[in-house]
Order: sequence, then C-alpha cells, then structure tokens
Amino acid sequence: MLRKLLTLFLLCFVGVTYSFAQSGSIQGTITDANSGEPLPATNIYLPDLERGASTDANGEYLIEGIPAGTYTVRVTYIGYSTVTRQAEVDNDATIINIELQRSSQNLDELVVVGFGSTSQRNLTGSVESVSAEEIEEAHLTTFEGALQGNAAGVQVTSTSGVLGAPVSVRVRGTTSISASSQPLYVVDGIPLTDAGGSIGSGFGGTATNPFLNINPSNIKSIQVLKSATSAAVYGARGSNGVVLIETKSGESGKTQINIGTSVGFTEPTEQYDILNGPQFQEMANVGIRNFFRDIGFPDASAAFIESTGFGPFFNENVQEVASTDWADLVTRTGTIQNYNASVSGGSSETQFYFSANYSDEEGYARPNQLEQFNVLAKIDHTFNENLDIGISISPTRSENSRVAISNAVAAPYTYAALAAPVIPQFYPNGEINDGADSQRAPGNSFSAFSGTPFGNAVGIELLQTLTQVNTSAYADYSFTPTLALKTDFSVQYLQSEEEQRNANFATDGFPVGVADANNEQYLNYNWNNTLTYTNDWDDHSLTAVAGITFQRETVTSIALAGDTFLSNDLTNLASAANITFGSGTGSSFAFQNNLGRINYSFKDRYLLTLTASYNGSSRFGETEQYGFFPAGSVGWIISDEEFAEADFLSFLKLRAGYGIIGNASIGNFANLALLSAGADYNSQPGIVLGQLSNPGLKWEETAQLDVGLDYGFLDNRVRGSLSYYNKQTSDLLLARPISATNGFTGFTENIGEIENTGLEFDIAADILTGDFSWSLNANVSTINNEVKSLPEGQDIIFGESLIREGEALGSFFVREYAGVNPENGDALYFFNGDTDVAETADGVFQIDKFGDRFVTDNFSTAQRIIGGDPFPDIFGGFGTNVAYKGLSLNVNFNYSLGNEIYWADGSFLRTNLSSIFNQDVSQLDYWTPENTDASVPEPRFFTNNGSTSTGNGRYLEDGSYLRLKSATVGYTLPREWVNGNEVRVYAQGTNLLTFTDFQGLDPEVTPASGANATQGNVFFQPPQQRTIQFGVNLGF
Amino acid sequence: MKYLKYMLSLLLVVTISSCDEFLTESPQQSLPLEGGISTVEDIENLLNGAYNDVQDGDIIGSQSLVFSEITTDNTVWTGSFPTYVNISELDMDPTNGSIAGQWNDYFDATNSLNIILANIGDIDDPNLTDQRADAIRGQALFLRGLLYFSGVRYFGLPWSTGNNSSNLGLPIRTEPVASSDDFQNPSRATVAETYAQAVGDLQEAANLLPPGGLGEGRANSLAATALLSRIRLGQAQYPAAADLAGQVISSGNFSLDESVLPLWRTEQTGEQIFSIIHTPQDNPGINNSLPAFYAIQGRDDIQISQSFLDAADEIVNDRQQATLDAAGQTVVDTRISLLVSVGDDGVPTASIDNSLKYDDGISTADNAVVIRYPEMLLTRAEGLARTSTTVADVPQEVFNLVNQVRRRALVVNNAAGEDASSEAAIDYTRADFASLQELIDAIVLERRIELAFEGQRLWDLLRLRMSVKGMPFDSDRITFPIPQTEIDANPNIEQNNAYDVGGS
Repeated sequence: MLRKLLTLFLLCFVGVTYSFAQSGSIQGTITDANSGEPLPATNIYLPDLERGASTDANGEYLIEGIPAGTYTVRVTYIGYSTVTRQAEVDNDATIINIELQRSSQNLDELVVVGFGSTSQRNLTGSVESVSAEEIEEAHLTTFEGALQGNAAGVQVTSTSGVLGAPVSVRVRGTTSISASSQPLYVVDGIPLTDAGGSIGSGFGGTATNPFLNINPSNIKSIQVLKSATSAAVYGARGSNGVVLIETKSGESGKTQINIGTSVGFTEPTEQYDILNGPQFQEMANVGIRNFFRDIGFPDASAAFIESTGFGPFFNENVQEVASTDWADLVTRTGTIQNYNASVSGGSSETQFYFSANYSDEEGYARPNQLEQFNVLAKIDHTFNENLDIGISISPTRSENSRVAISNAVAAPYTYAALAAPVIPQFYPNGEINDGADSQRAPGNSFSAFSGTPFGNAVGIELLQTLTQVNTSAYADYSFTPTLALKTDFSVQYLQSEEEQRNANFATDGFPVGVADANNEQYLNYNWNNTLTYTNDWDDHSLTAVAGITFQRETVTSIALAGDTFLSNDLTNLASAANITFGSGTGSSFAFQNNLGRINYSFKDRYLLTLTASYNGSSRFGETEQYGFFPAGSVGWIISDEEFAEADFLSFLKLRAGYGIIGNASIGNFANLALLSAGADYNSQPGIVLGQLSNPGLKWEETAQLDVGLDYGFLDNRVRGSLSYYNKQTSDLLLARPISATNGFTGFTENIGEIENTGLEFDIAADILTGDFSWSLNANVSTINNEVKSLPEGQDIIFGESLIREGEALGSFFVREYAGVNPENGDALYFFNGDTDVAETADGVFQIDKFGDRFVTDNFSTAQRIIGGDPFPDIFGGFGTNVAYKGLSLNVNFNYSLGNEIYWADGSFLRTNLSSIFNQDVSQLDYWTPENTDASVPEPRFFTNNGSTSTGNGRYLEDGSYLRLKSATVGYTLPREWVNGNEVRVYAQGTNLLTFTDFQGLDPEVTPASGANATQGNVFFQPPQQRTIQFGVNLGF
Repeated sequence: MKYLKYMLSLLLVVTISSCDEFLTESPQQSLPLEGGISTVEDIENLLNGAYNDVQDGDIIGSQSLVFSEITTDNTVWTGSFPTYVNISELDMDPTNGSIAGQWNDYFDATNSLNIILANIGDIDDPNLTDQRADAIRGQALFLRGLLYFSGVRYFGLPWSTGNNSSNLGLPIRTEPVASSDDFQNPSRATVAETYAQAVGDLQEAANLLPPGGLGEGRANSLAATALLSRIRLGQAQYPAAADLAGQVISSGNFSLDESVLPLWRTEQTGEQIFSIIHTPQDNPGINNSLPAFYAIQGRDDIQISQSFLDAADEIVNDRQQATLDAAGQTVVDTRISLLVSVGDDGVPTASIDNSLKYDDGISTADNAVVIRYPEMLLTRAEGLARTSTTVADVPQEVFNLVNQVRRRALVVNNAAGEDASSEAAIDYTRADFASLQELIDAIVLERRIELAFEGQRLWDLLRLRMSVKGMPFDSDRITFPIPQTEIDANPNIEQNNAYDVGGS
C-alpha cells in the first residue's frame, strides 16, 4: 500500500514536469454529482501503468505521456464513491470528466487504527467511525456527543446538562468495578490524560470534562476501537476501548478559507413541577398536625402548635405565605455564539492547516457560562523523498463560570427544587434573603441552611480556567520504499485554575464570605517510535509494525482557602482576613509499551491481523510490573469470491478476532503500604497508615471475542455490519468492602470476573440519490452484563447497588415499596422474605390491597430484592437525511430501553413532606381519612413515612427513553449566486423532544462520580440542555 | 543503510536503558510503611495522626458529642439532612450514612492506636526514654479507651439495663491491621467486655501518663482518671466514681474559671481536663463541626428545647426565690444569659435560640470539649450523695461542690440590676432537701444545665433509666444499628435486635 502511494506521489511530479512526444494524455474535471462543485485533490489513478494525478483547485487534472491503448481509470476521493472507467487513449488528449457521488461509507477510505491505518475494507476488528460531517452536523460543545446514537456498542451519557460536564463513555459495557471504565482517548497519536475522569477540585460538587478544550470543528474523524485486535496495540490501556481522534490537516492545492458562525439559545429540557407556597404550607400544616397527633395531641390548637418548636413552620393563613418560584429565579434562556475560521492549503512539499475558534455559551442554570478560545496550527513538510516532518501546536483556553450541582445546597439548581416556596426571595428592606434570619422573614424557618437558591445563583462565583497546550512533532523516515521509521514526541500541558468566591449571603459564604483557589497542572509526555515494513508481492500484502512507546504524566496541585471579607466586591484571597487552608500535592505515573502488529492479506480477500503488546506500568509492584497482551483476528471478503458474485451484493466480509487486553486504571502507588502525611493534630505533624501493602496487585485482563459481518448491497447503497462480542474480564481490580473493624472499609484486590456480551447491528441506506436524496441509518446494540465470580461468592453492596454473582454489575438492591396502607396512610413495603418468618415476624402483615403478599410498615424489616439494573436491554440511535439540491434536513434520534435509574432526588422531592423540603405536585395526592385511596402516604412532619433515601424501591425508576437528539435544516446557496464560493445557512436544534416515563428531569444522566458499581444512581443532576442555533458557513 | 543501523541502535539503546528506571515513580505525600516506623519522631508523628483520627468530625471531634444531644429533651433538631433527622427522631435504619461514618471512624482510629501500641516496643532509638515511651503508650491507651467507651454506648444497650454480660457491645480489636493478612471478621464482645476493655485501657493510661505537661489537647493521667469517674458513675459504682472524681479535684491542677464564658471563647483554660483541639486550618468543617450544627452562623440545625428552658427555670428553688424576692434581688443564670442566644426581648425561646457554646461558625474551630472540671465536681457530689442513705448523712462536701458550680454560674443582681455579690443567696443547704432523692434530683438538674450541649444528656437519661423521646431507657430503638455495610461485609457481626430481621 505504502509503496503504491509513494509511487503515485513520485509520479505526480514526474507527470507534471515532463511530456512525452509519442503519446497521448488523459485530462478532465472531477465534480460533485450533487452540487456540481469541482473537487480538488481527487486522485486519478491508472493501475495498469501505476501512474496517476491529483486534481487542482478547479478540479482539473492532466496525465500526460500515456501510450495509446485502453486503460482502467480509477478516481478516488475521501467521502465519495470510487468510480472506475475505461479510457481509450490515442495520441490526442482524451477528456474524461467524472461526477463523484458522495458516500457515507467508502470501503477504501483509510481508517486510523493506532500506529498506522488500514482501509475499511481490510479491517478485521470492530471499529466505529464518525466523520467530520457527522460532527459538524451535531454542532457540539464537546466531541463525545458525536458518538451518541451514532456508534453501535458505544454508550454515551453526560453527567449533567451544565456546560463542561464530564461525559461517561462505555464501549461494549462495563468491564471493571473499581478501575476506570472510560476508554483511552488518543488525539493524533497522543494519549491524553483523563485527569482521573474530571479535572479540577470540583468545588461545589461539580466536575469538569478534561477533554473540554478539544474543538470539535477541528476533528477530521473519530474512530472507536472496540475489539481486542483493534485496541491491542494500546495494550494495557485499551481494554475499555480506544477513541482515536484525528484532527484536520492541510492539503496541497488552492488555499481554502472557511469561516463559520452560529448564534442560538439554550434552555433546560425539563423543569420540576413543584408545589407553590399555599400548596406547600397547607401540606405542611397537615403534616404538623399529624405529628402532634402521633405524640399524643390529636386536637392540638393552632395556638398550642404555635407555642411549640413547630410553631414557626405552622401557618393556617395559607394564602398569606410567600410563594417564590425558585426554579424560575435560578434558570434562564442562555445564549450561544460561536465563530470559527480556518485556512488550509499548501504546496506539494508543505501543507498547512490553521484554525481559530471562539465560542461563548450561557447555560440555562445561572450563572453557568463557558467561553472558549482554540487555535490549531499544523505544518507538514516533505524534506526529501525519504523524510517527512511535521509539527502541530494547539493552544486552547476555556473560561468556565461553573455552577455547583447535585448534592449541595450551594447548588442553585438543586436547592431551587427543594427550598420551600414560602421562603421569600428578599427581606422586606430589599436585601437578598440569606435564609438565616427567621425574624426578618417568617418563611425562613423552612430554610435549613443559610443561603437561598437565588442568593446562591448570584452570590457564588466558581470560575475555572483550563489552559491546554498540545504540541507534537514527528519525523517519518523511509529507508527504502518498504521500510519506514516514525518517531513522534508530544507534550500535553493542561492547567486548571479555579477560584471560588462565596458572598456573605450565600450558603457556604455566610456570614463573612469565603474564597477558595485551586491550581492543578498536568504534564503528559509521549514518545512513540514505530518501524513499519510494507510490501506487496504477487497475491500477498504485508504490513508489519514494531514499536516502543513511553508515556509519563505528572500532576501537581496547590490549593488555598480563606474567609472573612470586608465586602462581597473583593474577590481575591488577598482580601481574606483568615487563610484557613493550604495544600500542595504531586503524583506521577509512567507507562511503557513494546508493541508489534502484522497485517497480512492474501489475494486482498483473506485477511490476518496479529498484534501483541508487552506493557509496563509504574502502578504495579516489581513482580507484576509487566503484562503481555496478544490478539489476533482474521477476515474473509466473501464478496470477492467467484461463487458469491451477484449483482445485488457489493461487499460481504466475515471477520473474527480474539485477544487479551489489560486495564491499569487504578490509582498511582496502589501496590505500596503507605504512611500518609497531613494527618496533623493541633499544628503538629501527623502521619497515619493510609494504604495497605498490595504487592500482588496486577493488570486487570479482558479477553474479548469479536465476530462480525460487514455487508454492502446494491453498490453499497445499503451497508452496515453485524457484530457479536463476548468480553470476559478477570483479575478484576476490586476494592472489596471489608469489615470496618479492620480500620479500612475496603481493599483493592484482583478478584472476580465480569462478562459483557452483546450484539451490534447497524445499517445505512441511500434510498434515493441524485438531486433528491434520502438516506437512513440506524443502529441497535444489546448489552448483557453479568458478574461471574466474586471472592468467596460474597455479595458486595454499595448503598442500593449490588454486586452479586449471576447478576448485572450494580443491580439495584432495594426494599420493594408497596404503596399506601389505605387504613392509616402508612407507607408499606413488601416483606419479600420467607413466608414462615413473615407469619411470625413483628410488624409484618397482610391487607386486602396487596392480596397474599406480606407487607410491613418498617423499612428495615422488608427484605431487599433486585429491582432492576442500570444496563439497557437495547440502546442506539437512528436518523435520516433528506436533501434536495442545496437544501437538506438531518434528524437523529437516540434511545435506551430497559434500564433502571435509582432516582435519589425522590427521597427529597417525594417524601409526602416529611421534612422542610418542597415536594413535586404528585405528592398532593396524599392520604387523609377522606382520601384513603391515595397514591402518597400520609404527611407526617419530621417523621419518616416511606422516605428512606437508601435502597428504597419507591425511588427506583424505569430509565427508558427515546430522544430527538438533533435536527438540522440547511441550505447551500447555488455557487453562481455567490461568486463560486460556498455559502451554507442552517438552523439546528438539539434535545428537542424526549419520550420517557422516568419521573426525574432527564433519563440521560449518569452519576458524576463515574463509579462503575453505582451507575444509574442519580441525585439532582441538572438535565441536558435544549439548544436552538442558527448559523452560516462560508468557504472561499 | 548506515542511517538505519544508527537509528535502530539508538532506538534499542533507549529502549533497554530506560525501561526499569522509566517505570519507577515515588509517592510525594506519603512514606513507605516499611522502615517508616523506626525513630521516636516516627512514633510521635503516628500518635499525632491517631489524635487526628480521633479529631474526625464523625466521632469525638464532633458527632459523638452531637448525637447524644439531638436524641434528647435538651434540643430540637430543625435541620434537614435525612441521616441526622432520623437519628434525632430515633428512627434509624442500618443504611444511615452518618452512623456508618461513626462506626468506621471509631475503628479507623482504633487501628492507628493499635499500630502505635504494637510498634513502640520495637523502636530502637536512644532518644526513646522510658518516660517518653510511657507518655506515648499512655496517650494511645487513653484514646483507645475513650473510643471503646464512646462507641459501646452508641451501639450497645445501656449499662443500666443490667444485662451487660449478655448484651452485645463492640467487636474488640487490639492488634494492628498493617497488612491484608491481618484482616478479620470479628464478632461482637458483650457490653461488659467492651467496658472492661475501655476501663483497662484507661487505668493503664492513668498509670503511665504524667498528670500534665504534655501540651494542649493531649491526654494526661488526670484525664484518664476523670474519664474513669464518668464510666463508674454510668455503671452506678458511686463510691468509685466519687473517689476518682475526688482524685482529679484534689490534684489541684484544675479550677473553675471566673465566668462560664472563657472556656467557650478562649478555649484553653484551667477548667479543661481533655479537649480535642480544632484549629481554623484543621477542623471538621462547615458540614460536620460542632458550630456547623449549633451556631447561628453555621447550619443552625440544633436549637434549644422548651424542656431545657423549663428545667433552667427550676435552678433556683422556692426557698431561695423567696429570700431573693424579699431582698429585691434577681438571679441571672449566666449559662443561659451568656451561653444561649436570646431574642430581642432578652428571653430565650425554644427552637429559635441556639447554644452559644460553639459559636465560631466562621472558622468552625471550636474545640470538642470532652471533659471539664465542673463535671468532676458534680460527679463527686452525686457519687457521695448516692453513697449516703439520708440527707442527714450526706457529707457537707456535697453541698460545697454543687454550690461551687452554682456560685460561678448564677449572678445575683440587686433591684438596679447590678451585681449584688451575694452568691450565698443561691447556695443549697441541707435544709433545702426533704429527701435524698430531692438532693440527687437537684444535682442531676445542675448537671443538665451546666453540661448542656456537651454530649452528656443522652447518657445521663439512660443511666437514670429515664425515657428518651418517649421510649423506655432500655428500648433497643435508642441503640444505633450496626451499619448495613458492616453487616454486608462481616458475616460474624450480629445486628441489634430492633434492626435484625434475620435476613438481608
């Protein structure tokens, strides 16, 4: 392959420079069949002569000096179907003009597979590709969203709808319990740091996506390596899949300038429907009266109640109470603006690509705002026929005005749902209510904390600035046409600066003001060296790669905190009267990988790939430092066999592979017994045994079988693939809970096995082509996760998440909520235990409403059952694209069916008002002696009547959903209207519609912790945002 | 081809030379355990680390002193956090995260102490004098005794049930867990055995430690003796309690402050016997510290109860009141006027006003006062009183002890509101008490007011066999559940009855 390219390359020069008198030529123009635009840099190749040419900026080409005769002409261009024609050449110029059809899947297109590339046609592993067009259509803030619903077997969920939130990506299931299950991200060959899943201290319970600064508009393609053979060259770190991102590069020819801009707005996809002031107060009154009844005062007068500790909560004049709409005060319609420009081009020796991007987005959750600056500069240079060199530098910066989310009162969006509506927004004198003074604002008795949602939205600054500079340089030296050495060295510098300032009326700032600062720096070096041998002879084709790579990452951090400020206007720590905290830490790890891969094909239809990597990591002890990870796969292009020749069948490939990959995503130094410093007492230095020795800790291993069928029918107008995988992960790195009496609550060991199996099917069809085109695509994946073995078969339980042999990882282990006892309004749970025990157990009984089933009003008496698991039965996406001339409509859906969500929000929002928190309107159907058929138990103030937060089946929800992820309408103006330039206008919306029974705000969320065993446990994650954008792209 | 050889050899050289060294990284905030405990400084640093564990907000640093107040008639819990709401309502279940945190941290700290106790004998350092070794060992034993005593009262039924050799206490761990080979799944010892462990540790600590001079926030022999007197009082061993308290009093190392306030403001006074020191830089923080729970500037979760205010109104008896009225004098209890916030009208109001013992809601650095001198006075008074058979044979010392506490706390004002300097007006005399029980009740009342919000009320209620939130003192719903995480991880642990349903 390489030799051919090289020859082609050389011939280009030759073809241009010399002319042959005794021969003819072929020339013409290559254009896009739909738009009629000329296509520059298209390859025209004459296999018989091993000669060819590329089109210039006008789409024109010329191949001279061709002896008379009949030749095959092959025209290839990335993103278009290859066209083959016969050409009669005499001694004149033969004109061959060809119109190319766009193709979303070109089998000869190169797929980057890590330390090399191969054609889609010759792949023997499972790889999902997402193209630049798909990424552009999606108009994303971060690139991960492009994988959602687009890549079979890849589950993408965001941790929340705030800007810059980390994204959870699971490639073919969850393969680990304790180690990270996130894939490895490699940009242009550089493995990026994942900063432990999120970057920054996470002030306020929110975290930031470490890949935030990768600008989607610079991405040329994303490949997800799913199978062992694909990912094996990344050995140790490939077991969760590898996401390879290739950024755009310059192409020789006329300089291209592209300018794009878009503006739009954002809003939450959903808001809670919660009680207003009078509704809330009335329900509280009922709950308070019931409380007094239960402690022996059934007929307590209002005056009596008001004289007690509950007096401030009680108010019979329900129409007089405040009715603050907190959610409205902390949300807004945000605006988005985005500008980008790129210039690319170059000569045959030197190509360049420069791009700059600026975007400014306001989130719907006040004061969330993300401002980003991105620059990418790339130069590739051919020094001579043997040596190519290049450099790429990408400085980026994002300033994220974050907002606290989830489990924090300081989180305006969370507290807005919970703060009692009877708390007023302002004090009577107009100051922002800080929630603290119940004398000044009567409703403040319901304020458990200082601060109010509104106060926290305007009084907390949480600025995070990410500065990233990725720099890489490479040299590619060909010793011979068949042997090349490539070395690339890259440095990723990633810095997070955080400043938090809480005003004196905010929850965490009350009453004197508090500030924190945190600075984290990641320095990630990679040095990759590969030697590639490529040769074709007779029917054989061989590519062999041997390489050695080094990666070292260091992280350092400094943190400071202080309080007591003169004024809320003074924001820096310099203005704090007290410095209350200071810390500085550092850590590091190193990986070394010796890798090898052989791609061999016979007759271009029998394919073999063998890979091996021998991996070392500083994270393991001496005896287990290295792991060996082999993989192999075979492919058979059946459609090339004579017996399979049929008009309708254009491509059919059977492939199968098996391999072993390791996972080392555990903490640094996990093998060592460590005395941890910092356990100081009264300003004297202290040390504690922080970690026990674990010399046997070794690589987690995943053995994966991958079998697949790639197909194309009707000239590849219908195409796709079907895959089956079986991943067996053993030696699981597992922090097994142990008796706390040992002084530790868990210990990480290589124990247990997990199996993930699944089927993946995708199909794409170009139903209509030509002026009016219509295409469809769909994918569906199944996933079956099962814990196969655990130490001594013992269950491991984290809250409501169960790890049990034979069950899915993190199955929900809950006491089954039965409903309301019609006789007395008690919340009831099904006993679900031994019937013999039930008949004698205290507090276990039967009532008509539940038939034969035993119920109990005592939460702890009910036995836990598995109520579901967080893995969907099927998930995927589908979409369609309709175009008429320049006008296009693109619609994409994604879906997930059969997964459960533990909706812990409910333990606050649906408690039949057992405490001071607001409730959603469903709770109005509460039990009273008159409403015995109620769906909600009787309100009993400050009494738990069915609201236990952990493992309560009342809060287990079906998480299935179907979502209209994006819809885009675009129009490309006819070129003749705009001087031959390209002008495209579009309108685009995301998260437009969601169909779900989930009771929370958004079924498409995952916990911010990213912990594998507690997937599907959510707690006030803000919902995804809905965006509407209008944009224009110009190309010159 | 010359280049090829050159470059290949370079690659090879780089590969071979770098590997082992390249993959060696060292931790920066930790030291290896191996060889890490060899000098006296090492072991003293470990002791500081153990104090730091005890300082944790989940246990002695805060919550162990908070839970035994919020479950009682001294307070009204107005906070919202479910785990605390459930504890304050005695409506707990084994999944309660705050209880799990407490359980885990008791044993986390215990292990730190066991590591010190197991290693100190092997330290070969000439600087480790016997005196220094005794001080280290004694402090470690004191803290371990404190932890077992504190823990058994939460997780076991009260001593006053009398069934202490069958009621279950804590699992007892006295050997260190320094590697995974040391892991065990222990079962629970009885309440009696757990108390015996605590008492044994404290007695040995009292023998090993000097009576003072170890620095602020550190245990000495008198702290151990004081804690033993508290245990004996709880065990109704009144002569022993009185005797131990007497030893602390007669040591002369402690005295009452001029006013009730200084201890709660300047934090280091002669009244303090043992406190866990919190500093602005090192404390359980805005979510877990004592002021987080108590202070208006904190989360303001704990308010005073009407029951407490009513009790405080009884602090002057009818005889005293009549005398005062006749002299046109009034009494101000500074434990209320200075240590409870009052509204605009100057009158404390239940469930609106807070204790001001922990007022540093900003730095959250209020110390956790574990034992202070007035308790010794009142313990000795109660111990001696209960050892007597009638009011008549109660030693005069008893009245003197109680009156010391009263004179310091109660200010007698003249009609003009000025200090009348007549403390004697509020002294108790033998004649004030018609029965021994009345005297004991007065001491208990004094104790309630004096030691309010210091984590003593629940234990006093239980030892006096009084009901708690309407539940009888021996109700197993007052006892904390063993955390579900422990039940799930340790097959040998037995759940407390109220939470045990014989299944999962």
